[in-house]
This record gives sequence, C-alpha cells and structure tokens, in this order.
Amino acid sequence: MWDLFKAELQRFRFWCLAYASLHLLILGFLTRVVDLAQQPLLVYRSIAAVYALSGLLFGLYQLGNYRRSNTWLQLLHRPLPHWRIAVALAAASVLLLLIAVALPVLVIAIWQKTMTARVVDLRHWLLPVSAILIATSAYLAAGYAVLGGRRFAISGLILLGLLLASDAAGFGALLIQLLALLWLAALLMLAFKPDLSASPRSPLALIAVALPLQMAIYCALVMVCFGVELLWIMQGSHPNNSTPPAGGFVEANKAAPADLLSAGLAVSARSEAALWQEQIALSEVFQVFREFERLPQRHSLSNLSPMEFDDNERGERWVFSHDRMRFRGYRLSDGKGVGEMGATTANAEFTTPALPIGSLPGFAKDDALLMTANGLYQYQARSRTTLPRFQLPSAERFAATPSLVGESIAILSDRALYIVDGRSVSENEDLIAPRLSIPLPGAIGNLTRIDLIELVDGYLISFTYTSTAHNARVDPYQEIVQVHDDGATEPVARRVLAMDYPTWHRYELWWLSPAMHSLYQGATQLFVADSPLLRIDKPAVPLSMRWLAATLAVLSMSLVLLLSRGLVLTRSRRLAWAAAAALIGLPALISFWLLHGGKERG
Amino acid sequence: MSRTQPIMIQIATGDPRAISKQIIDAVRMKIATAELLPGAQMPSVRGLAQQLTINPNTVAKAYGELISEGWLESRQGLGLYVATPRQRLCDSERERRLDEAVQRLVHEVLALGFSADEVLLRLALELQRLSPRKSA
Amino acid sequence: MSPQEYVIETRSLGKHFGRKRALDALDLAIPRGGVHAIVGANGAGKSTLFRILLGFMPPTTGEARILGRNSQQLRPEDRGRIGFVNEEHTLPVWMRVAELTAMQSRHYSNWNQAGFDQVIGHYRLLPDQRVGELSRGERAGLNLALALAQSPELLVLDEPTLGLDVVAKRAFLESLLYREAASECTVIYCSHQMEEIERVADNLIILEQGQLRHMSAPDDFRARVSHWVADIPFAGPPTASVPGLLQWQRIDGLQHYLVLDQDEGFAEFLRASGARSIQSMPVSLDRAVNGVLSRDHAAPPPAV
Repeated sequence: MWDLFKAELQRFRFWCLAYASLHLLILGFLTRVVDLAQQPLLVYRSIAAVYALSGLLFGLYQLGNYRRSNTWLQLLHRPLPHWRIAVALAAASVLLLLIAVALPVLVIAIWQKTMTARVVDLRHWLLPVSAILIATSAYLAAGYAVLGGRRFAISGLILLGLLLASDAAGFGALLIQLLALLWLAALLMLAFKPDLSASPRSPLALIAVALPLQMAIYCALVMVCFGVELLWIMQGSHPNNSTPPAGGFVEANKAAPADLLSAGLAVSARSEAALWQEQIALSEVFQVFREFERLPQRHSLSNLSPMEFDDNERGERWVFSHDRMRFRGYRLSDGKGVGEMGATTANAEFTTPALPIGSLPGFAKDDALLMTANGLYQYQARSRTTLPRFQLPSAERFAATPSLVGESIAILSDRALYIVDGRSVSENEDLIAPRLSIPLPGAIGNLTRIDLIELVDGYLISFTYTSTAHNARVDPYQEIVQVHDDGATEPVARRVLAMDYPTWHRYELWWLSPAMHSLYQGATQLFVADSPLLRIDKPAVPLSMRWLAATLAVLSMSLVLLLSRGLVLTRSRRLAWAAAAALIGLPALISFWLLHGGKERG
Repeated sequence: MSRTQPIMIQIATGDPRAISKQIIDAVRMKIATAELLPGAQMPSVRGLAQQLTINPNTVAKAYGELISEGWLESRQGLGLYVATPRQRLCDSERERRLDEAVQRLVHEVLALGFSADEVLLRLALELQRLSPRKSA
Repeated sequence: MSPQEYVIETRSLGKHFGRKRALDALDLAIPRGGVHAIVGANGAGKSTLFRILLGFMPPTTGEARILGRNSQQLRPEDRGRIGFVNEEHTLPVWMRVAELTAMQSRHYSNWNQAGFDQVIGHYRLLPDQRVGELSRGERAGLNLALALAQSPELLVLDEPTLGLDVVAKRAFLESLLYREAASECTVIYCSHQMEEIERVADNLIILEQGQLRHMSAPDDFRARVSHWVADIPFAGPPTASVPGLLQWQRIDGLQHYLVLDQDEGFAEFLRASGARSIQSMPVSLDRAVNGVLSRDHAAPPPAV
C-alpha cells in the first residue's frame, strides 16, 4: 500500500511541481497587482473552478488510465484488499493536489501576512483548505465517473454542483465542501472493485449511489424543461418575448415607472386617482430596487464586493478585517500600516462586517459610507473616525443601499421603506432619524421594484411583488399606498397581476418531484444562517399540481414494479424501489432504470 | 565414469511426428550410426529439454520409450546411459524401414540428375566411412 | 478427485453480451500440475473466461472456481496465489525496474528473489531503466519474472508471446520451462502459436464458441486426426455422409479428407464410395487443431 502510494507520487511529481510553480507564479503576479484577499465572489468562484477542473482532469487522466481492462486487472489482482489500493492512490493524489493547489495559496497568504500590511484574516487562511477540499472533491467525482457504472456514475458531478448551489458561507461552506468530499470518497470506494460493472450490494451503498443520481436526474429534468422554454422563446409567444402579455407580471417588471404607477392607479377606487394620474405625467418618478439577498457574513470565505475604501487625500486604504471587526489602514505609497479604525470614536468593534458602499450627497470629498447589517456609518476623512449616522431597529436588515429620492434619501430594509431628509446628512454629524417609515405591504423576497412620486403632502408609492413569480414563489401583485407627511399611510390600490405562464410551467420545479425539490432546498440551505432578506409569501400548491405530482408518483411506482419483474431482485429490494418511486417520482424511476436496467435478465 | 555425451539433434514443430517421436527417432539413429556408443551418458531430462526448448515432460516421455525399447538404460542415481546393443527389431520391421529409407533417398536423388552409378558409388563410400567407427 | 485437485473448475458457466454468448454453459475442470494450453479461435471466449475466473467480470450463469474458491469471492490471499500475465504485459510504465520489483516483492509473501534473478537473467535489463523504455520482449520477460517470483500455485498466461520476436519468444519459453520449482506451479497457457504449444503443453484444451471442444495431451489429440487422399472418380460421397469429417478439399481431381477418430475402417468407407487408390498420413498438431476449429466453418470452394 505504501509502495503504491510512493509510486503514484513519483509518477506525477514532475507535473505536480510544474503545476505548483506555475500556480505560484500566477498568484504571485496577481497579488502584486491586486489584493487577492479582497476580491468579489466571482473571482473566487473562477479560481475555485480552475482548481475543480484541475482535480477533475487529474482524476480523469489517472483513473481513466487505470480503468483500461488489462491495467485494472494488473492494479487490482494482487494480495491487497482493493480498498487499500484505492486509499493508496487517493492519498497520493490528495497529497499531489495539496502541493499543486493548496500550497501556493498558503505561500501567498504567508507572504501577504508577513511582507505586507494587507489584511489576512482567519477566513483567508481557510482559503487553501477550501481549495484542497474542492480540488479533491472534483478528483473523486472524476474517479467515480470513470470507475462507476457507465450509465450513472457521471452523477457524482452533482455533488460538485452542490458546492456552487449552496448558500453556505464561511465554516458552513467548508462543512458543505467536506460533506461533498466524504460522500464522493464513499462513492469512489464503492466503485473501486475488480468487477466494475457490479451494482452496489448493501442498502446503504445503494442509497449513497442512488441519491446523488436522483438529484442529477431531477436537475437534468429541470434542464429539459428549460430547453422546452427556450424552444418556446424561439417560437415567439413566450412572455419574455418583445411585447409581454397585458396585465401580467412580466409587463409590470418591464414597464416604465410612470406607466406602472398609472396602471396601478387605474384600478384604484380612490377619488383622487384621476388627479394623481395627471400628476404622474408631470412628476419625476423615483425608483428603489432591492439589492441584497444576503449581507456580508463574518468569516465568509469570499466577499460580496471588496471590503475596502480609499482615502485619497491621505493616500490611505482602509480594509475591513473580519478577525478584528474593524478597519485596518495602510498607506498606498509605501504599504506601511496606519492602524485600526473601529465603529464610532470609541474605536469599538462593528457588530457585523461593514461594507463600504460609496458616499452620500453632503459628505466631504474623501468621506465614505459604511454599511453593517443594520447601521450606516460615515467615515469622516477629516477626523479619520467613523460616525454612526443611521440605525435600523435591531431585528431589521438593509435590503438595499440608500438611494436618492429628490431631496430625500430612501433606505430599504426587509420590513420598511425609510425616507430620510437629505439635508440632515450634511447639517450635523448625529444619528439621523427617518422622516417617514412606511411598512412594506409584502414579503421582501418577492419585492421587485418600488416606484414613487412626491405629492404635495407626502408620497404615492407603488410596490411591485413579482420576484420569482415564474417559479410560483409568489402570486404577483402591485400595491399602491399614499403616505402623508405626518406618517399616516392610506391604501390606494391593489392590482393582481396575471401569471403570464401556465400553471404547470410555474410549478414544474415542484411537480417534477416534490421530494427532490425539498431536498434541493434543504441541501442548498444546509449550514446557512437564516437570512430575513429571503423571506417570501409562497402560495400553497394548487390542487391540480398536487394531482399531477401524485399521478407521476403512481405512474413511476407502477413502472418500477413492471420493469423489475424481469430482473433478478430480492422481494424487499423490489418493494423498496417501488416505495422510493412513490415518494420521489420520476427521478427514482429513471434512476432505477439506469441502475438495474440494461443488465442481463435472469 | 563417463561424462555426459552431447547429442546433436534437431526437432521441428509442425511436423506430423510428435516431438517425443522425433527425439526417439533421432536417438535411435545416433545409436545406429554409432554416434552414440554403448555406455555413453545421455543428457538429463531437463538438459535436453532446455537444449531443444521443449517441455521436460516430453523428453521424459521419449526417454521412457527408449528405455522400454532397450536403447537406453537407467542406472540408479547416476542417470541414463546408452544400452549395450541387441537385436531390437524383427526382420519384417527392418525390411520395412530399409524400404522407407531407400524410397526417401531415391526421391531426393532423382531430382539431382546424377547417374545411378554415381549415386551407388557415393552411397558405398558413405557406408564405408561409417563402418570402421562402428567396429571401433 | 476432490475439488482441491482442480485448479480451475467451471460448472455450466455462461457469459452473454446482449445476444452474443461468449461462454456457453462451459464445463471445464483443469487438474493441478503441468502446463495446460488453451487454444481457440478469436472470440472463443478465452479472455472472458480469465476475466470471470479472476473475478473481474460476473458470469451470467453457472459458477467458476479457481483454486477451489468461487471467483466472485476471491480474497487478497487467494490473489497472492494466482499469477496472471496478459498479452499487453501491462506494467506501470512510469516505474523503474528496481522500484517495481521492490514493490512486488513486498506485496507477495512467497517472493522468490533467486527465481526472479534467474528468469530476469535471460534479459538484459538495467535496474534503473523505466518500464516504459523497455522493448516489448524485455517487458514480457520482466512481467513473467515478476509473475514467477510470486511463486504462484497457478499461473495464467494470456497470449504472453504475442508480438515478440523469435529471440524474445525463445527467452520467454526458457524462463517459463526451466526455472527451479517449475513443477509446483500449474500453468495455463493461452496462445495461438501452435509451435509453442507443441513445445510446452502437457495438456491441450480447445475452446470453441464458448464451449469445451477437446481436452487431452497434444499428441493424443494429434493422433485422433488423420489425412486421407483418395482418387474417387466423379463426385465422391456426399460430405454429410463422411464419418468424422473435419475438412474436405478436392485438389487436382483427388479428394482430400481430414477426419477425426477414424481407423482403417475409413479406408473401407472410401473404397465403398468408389475410391481407386487410397493413401493416409498423420498430420501436424497445427493442422489437427485447425481442422477441428474450422469444422463448423464453411468449406472453401474446391480449387479447380
């Protein structure tokens, strides 16, 4: 076993060192140009994709070569249990990947920590860990794809897809990566046996193989539906085509602000409606959009956007440190550190990571606006301190960055829309109290747009709740309220928007397999802190769709029973498959066919 | 105590005769022509097998046949030796073999265009050359 | 015989690939000891048989036992007792000869270094040469040396000399036949080279279309086949009526029959069929095996 391990290391040592050197060279170059610790999510995803691809190609090459029948025989026909051969090969591969993928990242982190004043937090030290987890998972997935049954083993890749689809951050993300890795390792071990065509024997092994397969089939079915939708678009009658259907939510999403307000007013019973229609034509219509689904989380491996801002006057850059929960500064000219800056003049820790989000009218030239989960701070260049300027109630979260509404500023949280007087930003340095606070009429996760005009007394505000309506996660509608300067709100109109898509289409993610749909939700939300920004008003599934799902389940179960008749299966295995088909539906049926069909019949 | 006598024989695969038969024929020929003298030690089974690149069992089989026909004798613990000659074949068999050999010779020679006298002369010379050795 | 005395035993072993039957209810029992040659046309199921025997492929029907153990349940220690050499001589090409040897010697508890050195002595290999740099013959020799040094009870050779030149072939056979302790190892030798089989085999096994056609000593088999030439005016007897017919050809007006298990009675048959003159002769092993293997193939059109 030890010999195989060593032999495999020797076999690839040259390529491994060459990869590591090139990798270090590229990272070294990039780190001279940018701060690799402060890149947006997309950059980390791209780098992770390269690591995953490297692991994948390595696995395909290495195990693809071993798989050729004579080579496989030569490798496995020896007085060693095959699991030990598998462990030897995989361990050598992990070590190679560690050197090629993780080590250069670590070297760069050490360089950055010791040779620069840039911030290197715990979360950055976790990046090489994440890199090796991802690369190893990809290696294992490739190995499973090569060695496992030809008809189904490609499904291991779905566990790599989970890494992409998961909403987990920080340690949660590492846990997901570890879970995927362990699962894939189990799959590879199951596949690593002399008779590569043999199906998994034990029930546990069968579940380990069947579950990712069924999820892969579910995703493939969703892709098929997506393909059908593409055909629909090409054919020209899709709601997203040039002219959306009148009165539907797609039209509302695309409408010009004035048109949308006016369409909403048209169904109003209020006597002022006609007057307001005229006013809309004359006024500027302001818009507020929801921006965040998640806010920066402490120790998250990546960033929504770079957590840094520059003070050009002083020539300083301030970077938020997740470890210290304060900003740390360094001079741009010579890279020397210039100390730490916390919240308020007391230099306290920020309660949540503070994201620099630009500036506000009324700020001095080099001042910056900093946003925590529920507080806004002003970096004051003059005093080199941060001043708390706005505070949401403690349970609320920002859903957008502040935006200008005429002379005022609109601040959107998950519960309410706040209107703040623009002048108060520059007039003093105190906490600003909102002039108006308008409770949102719906769930923040469904909110697509807010359109408003100033009235003589207050505002006329339209809230459009259509987000994810095509996936049946809301029954779309538009709600208009009038807000008086004294803060009183009066309902003006509620316009129910047409669905645009047929019901079967909106619910296809669900009826294809309610069980897999739930599993998908559960898997992507595993180890995820609840985000209030994702709250939606999901309508109940209509009876027709329930019948559709039930019919598919019964059909799948019957077909499983039918197909299994000619197969060599124990009675209990047959019944278990039938039960799975009844519970999971189509994906279970297709997985049954892939796992057990195409074999010789007994 | 005699040393092992090398025996120079060829075997051909693809011949209708089995390899063991070819060995038997060759050894008999060598004894008949006095290339192998009574008392000479035969190569070991392994040795001859290695020399001919064949399975030792084949050599063992051939030797067994030669022993049973009385061409060779086994001396306990020492090996195989060429046996003292005695009449091994009946007259009709000798007659048949002579006939076979003459037929073969005639066929070979015919194509070469020598006259019968020339051939007979050469044959007589060859036989003469063998005979003194036989008596030696 | 107790089952232990068979190194390989299959009972109605079948392997179907779709509608094709690579093995068709094969019953085979190979006794311990000696060199057993397996011959058969391409696609006779030899490679399939070995894959099943080593547990790398499941049988469709029946069962296969190797060294008394079900092939599907081979334990690592059983694998240690079975050597296998395939026609490609698949060895890790990136390893050096010495590294590979050291690795194998640690894996096999009965490693016979002296035996290895003896066999490898037939070839001029340097310990620090990479396996990938060896010629095909050298690789074959190394592979055989490794397999033999494992001191296997059973050594399976699947066309080991395929593509080797004469010298390498000779060296390969020598190392197989004349090493010490050769007798303790049962060898299954699968080849198309009748010349080799004639040299090395104690036992000849003929497989055809997944079935056992014949099993005996090669000489016994050869003796069963004879070649008759008869001068029969006109057409001669219909081929279906010829007893034990393997091959029939009409050359220059003479009828050539290759027949199985016929004695002088066949001459009577020919005479009764109107033969004017009859001659018979033994055939080479090559011819005999070919005759049996081509029995079911269509006879070539008679040459005029």
